[in-house]
Amino acid sequence: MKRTQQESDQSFIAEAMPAFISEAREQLENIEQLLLQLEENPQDRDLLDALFRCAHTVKGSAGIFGLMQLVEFAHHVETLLDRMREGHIRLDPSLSTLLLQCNDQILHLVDIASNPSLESDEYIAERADLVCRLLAAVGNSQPVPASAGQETCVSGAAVPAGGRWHVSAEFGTECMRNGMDPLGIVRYLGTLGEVVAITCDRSSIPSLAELDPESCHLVVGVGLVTEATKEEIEGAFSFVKDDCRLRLIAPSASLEHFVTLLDEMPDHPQLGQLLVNIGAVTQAQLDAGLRQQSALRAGGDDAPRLGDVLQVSAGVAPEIVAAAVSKQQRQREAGPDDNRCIRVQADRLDVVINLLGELVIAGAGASLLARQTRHSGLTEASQHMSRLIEEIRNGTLQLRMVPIGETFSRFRRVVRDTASQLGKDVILEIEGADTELDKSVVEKIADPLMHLVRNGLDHGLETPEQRELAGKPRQGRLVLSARHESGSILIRIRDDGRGIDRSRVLKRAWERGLVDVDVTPSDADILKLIFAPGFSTAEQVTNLSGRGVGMDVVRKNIEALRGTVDVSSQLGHGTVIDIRLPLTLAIIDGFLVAVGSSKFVLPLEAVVEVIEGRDPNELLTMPDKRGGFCVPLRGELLPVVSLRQLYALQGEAPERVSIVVVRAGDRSYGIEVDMLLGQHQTVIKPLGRMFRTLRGISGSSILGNGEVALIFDVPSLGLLAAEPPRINTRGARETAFPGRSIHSSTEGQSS
Amino acid sequence: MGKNILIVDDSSSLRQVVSLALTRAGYEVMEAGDGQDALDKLDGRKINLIISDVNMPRMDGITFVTQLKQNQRYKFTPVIMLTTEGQDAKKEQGRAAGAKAWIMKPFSPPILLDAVAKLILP
Amino acid sequence: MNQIFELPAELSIYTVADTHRRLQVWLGQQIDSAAAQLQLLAHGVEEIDGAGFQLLGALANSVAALGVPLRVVAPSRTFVETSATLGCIDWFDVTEQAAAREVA
Repeated sequence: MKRTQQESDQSFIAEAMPAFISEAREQLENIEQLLLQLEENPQDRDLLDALFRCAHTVKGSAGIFGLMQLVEFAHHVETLLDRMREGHIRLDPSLSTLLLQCNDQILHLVDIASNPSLESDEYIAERADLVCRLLAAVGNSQPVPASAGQETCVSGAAVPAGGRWHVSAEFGTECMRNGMDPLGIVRYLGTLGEVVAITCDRSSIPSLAELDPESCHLVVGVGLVTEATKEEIEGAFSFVKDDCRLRLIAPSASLEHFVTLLDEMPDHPQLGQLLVNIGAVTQAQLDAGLRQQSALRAGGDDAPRLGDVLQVSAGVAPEIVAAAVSKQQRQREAGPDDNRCIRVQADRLDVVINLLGELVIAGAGASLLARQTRHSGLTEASQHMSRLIEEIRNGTLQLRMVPIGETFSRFRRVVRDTASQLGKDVILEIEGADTELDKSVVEKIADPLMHLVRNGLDHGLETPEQRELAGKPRQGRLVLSARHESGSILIRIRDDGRGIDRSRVLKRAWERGLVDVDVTPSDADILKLIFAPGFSTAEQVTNLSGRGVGMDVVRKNIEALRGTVDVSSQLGHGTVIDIRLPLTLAIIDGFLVAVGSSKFVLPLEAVVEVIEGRDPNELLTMPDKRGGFCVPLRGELLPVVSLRQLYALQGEAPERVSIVVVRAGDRSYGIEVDMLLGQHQTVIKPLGRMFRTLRGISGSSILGNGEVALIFDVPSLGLLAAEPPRINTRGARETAFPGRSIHSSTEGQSS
Repeated sequence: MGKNILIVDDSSSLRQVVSLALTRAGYEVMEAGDGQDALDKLDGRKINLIISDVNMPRMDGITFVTQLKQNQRYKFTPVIMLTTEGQDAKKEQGRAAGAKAWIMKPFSPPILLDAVAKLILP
Repeated sequence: MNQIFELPAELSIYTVADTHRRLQVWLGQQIDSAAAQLQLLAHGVEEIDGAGFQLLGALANSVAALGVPLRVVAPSRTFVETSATLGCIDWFDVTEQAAAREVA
C-alpha cells in the first residue's frame, strides 16, 4: 500500500524530532541565560531583542512539528516579550521570575513532545496559572496588532515622535492575485503624511519572457514624513502582512540602524542598488553617480569606486558605504552555508574514538613487532605511524572537548533560586569558563557539582543578618572556577561562608560510630569524614541538599570519573572544595611498570620522577608507625607503597627495585615496582561490574602483545595505602583485600 | 474616476451606515442583502472592492466569495469579510475562498473607512 | 519598421496577461527588424496599477539588455501621476512626441 503524502510528512517529522528537541533545548538555555543577564541590565535592547528572537524561533519550529500546545503557550510569552522589547513593559524581579518559570514550562512541553507520559495534572495546572499571569502582565499595555507575516523593525528610541521614516516593502508573489495592489498601499501611506522619496526596484522584476504577469515581484522603498506611529504605518500593510517582507526605520534611527538594515536586506550584487534599497541614496543620485563614474573611467583616470563617488556626490555617510561594501564582500566569500560548526551525533563520535583506541593498540602491537625485527626502515616507518596515530587521537579527542562554562552557567539559575528560597543573598562568580574538558566528563560532573553548590548555599553560607553580625558583607560569594593542572582539570567551589566546624563533624562521626570515640584524627582527616557514608551534620536534612544524596555518593560519582575531591576549610571564613578530573575518559598516556608477572599502568601525568634500580635494603628506611616504608628524597621522606605487598603478588622479588614517584593533588608518594617498562599509550577499558568496589584501580588496558595491564588511579591508590588506623567503613567493602588489614606487618622483606 | 464598492449584508441598518460613510468619503456604493442578491446585482459590472458579511440567508458569505472568484471578471477583486469574535474557522474558509482581508464586528465607520483606504482610495 | 506599441486604456491585473502576450510578440518583431528604438504610446492609459507597471518594468528590463532606448510617448496624465506615485518614472524615457510617424 502506498504511503500517503501525510504519512510521508509524518515520518519526516518523526525523524527530525530529535533535532528539534535538541535545538529547542539550546534555545531555552539561551533564554534562561539572557533573562538572568537582563536582570542586571533591564534596559538592554540587544538582550531583549535576542530574547524575543529565541522565543520566536522555538515557537516557529514547534509549529512545524504540530506541537500546538507549545505554540500556544509560547505565543503568550512572545506577546509579553514583544511588549517588553518595544518598551511598553519593563522587566522587574517578579516578571523575571515569571518568565523563568515560563521557560521551564516550555522545556517541559518540549520534553512531552518525545515522552507524552511526562505530562501531569500539576503541570497542566501550572501552565494555566502561568498563562493567566502572562495575560495579566500584558493586559495593561498598549495593544499591538497580531502579525503573521515577517517583519523587522529597527528603531532607535522606544516610541518615535514623528519625523522621516524609511519603509521598505518586498511584496509577496500572491498579493496581486489576492486583490491587493502595491500601488494602493503606497497611496495609503501618502495619507499618513508626506512621501518625500519613493523608489521601485526594477531589478527585482524578471525579464519580459520570464515574467508571470499576475505574480508580484515589486520591491518598494518609501521615505515618509509623518506623525503616525509605527503601528499605524505598519497598518498600511495589514492586509498583505502574510505575503510581504516589511522593514521600517524610525526617524531617530542612527547610522547603526541603516547598517543593521543593510545586513538584513536581501543580497544585492550591485552596491549602488543596495544603497538605494535602504534609502541611503535615491535612484537619481545613484544614476548620476554611475554616470560620473563611467565618465571618469572613459577619461582614462582610474575609475574611483562607486561608494566613494556616492559619498561625495550624494553625501552618503562613509560608514554606510563601508557596511554595504563589506556586505557585498561577505556575500561573495560566503559559500552556500556560512556556518562554521557542524552538529555531530555524540555516539557517532564515540564510535570513531573507540576505533581510534583500537588503532592505538594495534599500532603499539605493530611497533613492538617492528622493533623485534630490528629492521631500521620498518622501525622508523612504524614510529612514524605511531606519531600520526597519536596526532589523530589528540585531534579526535579534541572534538569531544567542550568548555565547562556552559555547565557553570546553568548554576546561575540554581544559585539564584536556591538563595532566594533560603532567604540568602549570594552572588555566583565564574572563573575559567572556557576551560575545556571531555563532553562526557562534563555531563557526569554536573550533578555532583550541583549538589556541592546546593550544599554550600544551604550549610556553608549564612543569611545576610548572620553575615552582618560576623562583620562580613551581607552578600555571600560563591566562586566556581576551573583550570587545567598537570594533565587534569581542577574545578574549585569556594565560598566565604561559615566554614566547617571540625568539632561538630568529629562529634557526629563519634555518634555515628564512624570513628572510635577515643580516636581524634588529624584535621585533614576530620574534613574527609564529610564524605563518609551515613554522615550528615545538618540538624534537619533540608529539602534542598539532603535529598537522600549524601556527600559520599558525590564522592563516588567523582571517583567513578577517575577524579578526586578534597575539602579545606577555615572556620568563619569559608570552605574550598577541589575536584580533580582527568581530561578524558577514553585514552590514557601511561607509564608501564611490572611487578612479578603482572603489569600495571600509571597515568603519565601523575608520574613525577623515577628512582631506578636500587637495592631495596639500602633504599628503604625503617618502617614508620603505620607499617609503611619511606624513602628519602632530596631531604624529605617519601612514603612508598609496595605493590607486591599491597596486592600480595606472587613471584620472586628481584634484587633491584625501582620507585616511581607519583603525585596526587599536593601529595607525593612512591610506588615500588620490579621493572620500569616505559611510556605506553593505551585505551582505557572499564573494569567489569565485579571489580567496581576495587579501589586504586580505575580500568584496564590491552598491551600490544595482548596482555592485560591494570590502570592505577593514583590518588585513591595513595589513600588506600596510607589509610589512617581504625576507620570503619560500614557498608560496601572498600579495602583492596576484604578481611585483611592493609597494615600487614613488614615481616622481612616483601616477598 | 469614482471607485465602486459593493456592500453585502443582511442587515439593512448596517448597509445604511456603511453606505453613508463610504459615500461621504467619496466612493460609489452598491448594496445587496445576501450572496445571491450580490451576484445578481454585479452582473458583470465593474467593481473595485467588495465588503461581505459571513452569515446571511439564501447564500452565505463563503459561498458567495467562492462563486464570485470563479468569474474571470472578479477573480482579482479584493474582498473584505465581516466576521465576529470566535469565527476563526470562517475566517480561514474565507481566506481559502479568496477573501484576504477582514474586519471584526462590531466596527465603527472610521475603522471601516481605514480598512477600505488601505485597498483603494476614493 | 518602427512600430509604436499602444498601451491599452486599462493596464491592470485584469489585462496584464493579455498585454504581456502582445508585448512579447511586438518585442520579437522589433528585434527581428532591428529597430533603432522602442516606443510605447501611453496617451490612452486611463487606468494603471502595480501589475501594469510591473509589466512595463519587465519590458524595460528586457529592452535594457538590448541596449536600445525604451520611450514612453505622450503619456496620459494618469500615467504620469501614477508612475510618479509608485516611483517608476525613471524606468522610461518619457517624451511628448513619437519619434516616427507610424503608429501600430
